[in-house]
Amino acid sequence: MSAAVETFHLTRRFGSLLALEDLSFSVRRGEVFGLLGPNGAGKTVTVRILAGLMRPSDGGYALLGSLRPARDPAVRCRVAYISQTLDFPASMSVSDVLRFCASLYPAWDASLASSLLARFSLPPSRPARELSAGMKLRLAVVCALAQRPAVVLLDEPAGNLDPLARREFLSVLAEAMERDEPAVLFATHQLADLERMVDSFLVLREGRALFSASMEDVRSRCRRVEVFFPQAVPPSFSLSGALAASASGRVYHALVMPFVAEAVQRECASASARFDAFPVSLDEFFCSLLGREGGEA
Amino acid sequence: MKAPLLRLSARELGGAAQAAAAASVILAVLLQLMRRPEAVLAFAAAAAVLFGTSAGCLRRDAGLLEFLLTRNVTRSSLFLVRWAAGLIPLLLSLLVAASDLLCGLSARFWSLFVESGFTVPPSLSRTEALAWTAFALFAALWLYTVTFVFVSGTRDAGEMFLALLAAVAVFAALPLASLGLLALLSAAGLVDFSLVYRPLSAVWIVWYGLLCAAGAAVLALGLRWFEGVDL
Repeated sequence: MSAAVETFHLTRRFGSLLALEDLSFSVRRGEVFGLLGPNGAGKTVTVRILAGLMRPSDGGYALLGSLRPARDPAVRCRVAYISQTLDFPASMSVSDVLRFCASLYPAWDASLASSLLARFSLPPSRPARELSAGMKLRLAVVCALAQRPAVVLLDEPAGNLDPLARREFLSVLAEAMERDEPAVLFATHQLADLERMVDSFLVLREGRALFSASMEDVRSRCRRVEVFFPQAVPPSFSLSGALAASASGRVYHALVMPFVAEAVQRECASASARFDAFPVSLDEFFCSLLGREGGEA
Repeated sequence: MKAPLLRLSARELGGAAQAAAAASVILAVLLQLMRRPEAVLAFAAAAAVLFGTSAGCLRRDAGLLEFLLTRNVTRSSLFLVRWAAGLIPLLLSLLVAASDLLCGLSARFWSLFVESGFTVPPSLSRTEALAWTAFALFAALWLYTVTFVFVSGTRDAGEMFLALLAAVAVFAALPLASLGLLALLSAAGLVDFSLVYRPLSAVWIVWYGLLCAAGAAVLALGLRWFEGVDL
């Protein structure tokens, strides 16, 4: 199947600051693709470029095969975008917003919109501008999914949602995946949420692609390895296949991919050390890769 | 796609349109009291700046702009629809002012209540009244477009103030440049400068055409800029 979202050497400069450099990736229909990275890595810039809100300085991108999707109404009506910074017209109630969206999209699913409205407990007569940040996000989700999109671009979508609403949002998104099989590009800090859904991901740092893999690869072929030495870790010690490594006292920590137990066993034995290996969560993977503690992506 | 967008833009401009409609009725009455056709021009300029600013401040509400431009709405359609949404109430306001000049509307209004100097219809000939109306209309179109385009590039009140100053400067520059050119052509013996004093003469018709062309060029440049700007 051809890619629904594709970037080719995408580059974006702000004056002398290089926000994105030579970024290429693709997302197929039915795939959830995570865009990860610390603050300022270029996630939002990437999503905003794909949404047509910014222009790349170099390189390009295609949505649903169109190289100029921002000017192609047939493509625009199949691309949905959700972000925390969206706001609604001051003159419109929740139901007015839905009517307005319905008038713009030929494939608008009114019954789906009504059911999502009820499910998210959104009051139809309330002015959309007066909704709380979390409620606005729910309304944005209704607007996005009722258009039956083929591509969904999500920029930190769940940040303003409480845990229950976040779970509801993910379940609604999973239903949309089953119903319409859209390509989903998910830029988020909530790695625990992403881990449940994501098929593959790309880690960005300072605008550059640092690492990309499928979640299946991470689950099956990646391990966090702790190597215990009788004395301090020798400075020359390293494990082959270590994506990131650190040493503290007698313990050497490494993120190893691909992990082959026999090979690690051999390397440890030659250094008179023993090791333990643990499966890694996306959060652990991310933090180990970027070499810092804490869960923020 | 454009009809719902136009309805939305009209709703967003609703408050400003009502204020301007009320102001135009009051001013139309005052114009009659002032008995000076130049006042129509002043009214047209004020309305053009008001509506140009209201319709042009697209980027001040970044969240709303993000919402609209991530729907099935292209930048060019949003830009042109907003321009049209401000233009419609401007033309309606001008219609009220012009009808006062052409038909003595406020004199008829006053005659319902009193019999006085206020109720005397304007003394302008029909040609003069038409000339002032055309002048006010084309000047307002030009000023509205320049204000709209300049303000559409601004994101806060400070930038908007500078944009308004620039718009007024550009608005005034074109008539002054045209007069300068006419004086030069007249000195070269190519055109008779006194045509300026003749209402609806060929010089005026050419100048109105020039205003329309300049307005279209400024709008096209603004549209091109808006297509490429980061939001």
